[in-house]
Amino acid sequence: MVTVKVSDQSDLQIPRGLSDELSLSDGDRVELVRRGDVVILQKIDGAGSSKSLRELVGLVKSSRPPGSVDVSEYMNRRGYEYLRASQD
Amino acid sequence: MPAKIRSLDEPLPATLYWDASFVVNFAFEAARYSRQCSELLARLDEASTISYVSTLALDEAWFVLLQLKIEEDHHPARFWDVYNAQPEVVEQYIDDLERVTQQIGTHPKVELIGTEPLSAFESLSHMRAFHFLPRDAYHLATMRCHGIVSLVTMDADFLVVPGIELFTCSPSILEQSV
Repeated sequence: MVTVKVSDQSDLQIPRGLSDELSLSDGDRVELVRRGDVVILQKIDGAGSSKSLRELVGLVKSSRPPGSVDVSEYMNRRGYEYLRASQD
Repeated sequence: MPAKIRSLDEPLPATLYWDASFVVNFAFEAARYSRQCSELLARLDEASTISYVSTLALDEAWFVLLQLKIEEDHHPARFWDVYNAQPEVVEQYIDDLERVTQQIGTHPKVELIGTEPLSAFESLSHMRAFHFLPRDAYHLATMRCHGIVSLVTMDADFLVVPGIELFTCSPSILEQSV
């Protein structure tokens, strides 16, 4: 738990323990994103470039050939919660 | 056909709900529609569309990704056989799921949303109206709760819903629009 102090500076000061926990150091650039009651502190890479949605592609690697897996076969029409029963 | 069917090349809406089938198709490297979904993500990069991903979709996507990876790594065993014998098998895949979730949840053009308590009752009404099973009923209630009428999915179940538009690259759905 930390207490917020508001100032006119554009720097974000955080306790050293928290910086270690978050792997942040002096000079790092971060972006704050709010999601309801959750505030996400996201580190921006050196180039500071905006993220592309295409970075989401292929995050889960596979040894199978590209385009070879029909995902719908794994998304049982009756909902995945029934799969255990259907495979028993 | 009550729902409007759109190909992934058509003009994008202001808001778009991502179904789990879309998430898995772009996140899993070997998925059948990976290329098409990648191209849609590139278009979304250029558009002003805000995308919405619900915790329901993440839940489904995580589970499907787990199945895909576990069956790939333990071929020819089935997912449940591996999992029931060795539940800790999931540990080695959580980094992958975390990476997908972090990238989705922190992107400025994507909103991560949850279900609202009152959506339970609306979900039941969707089950009555469209004969949906609970998960699809909750997806629709969550969309409506956020005023979203467009979704990207490979799932034909939503075709029965009037007033929504369904973006897809699934040939079996697209052929129903002609």
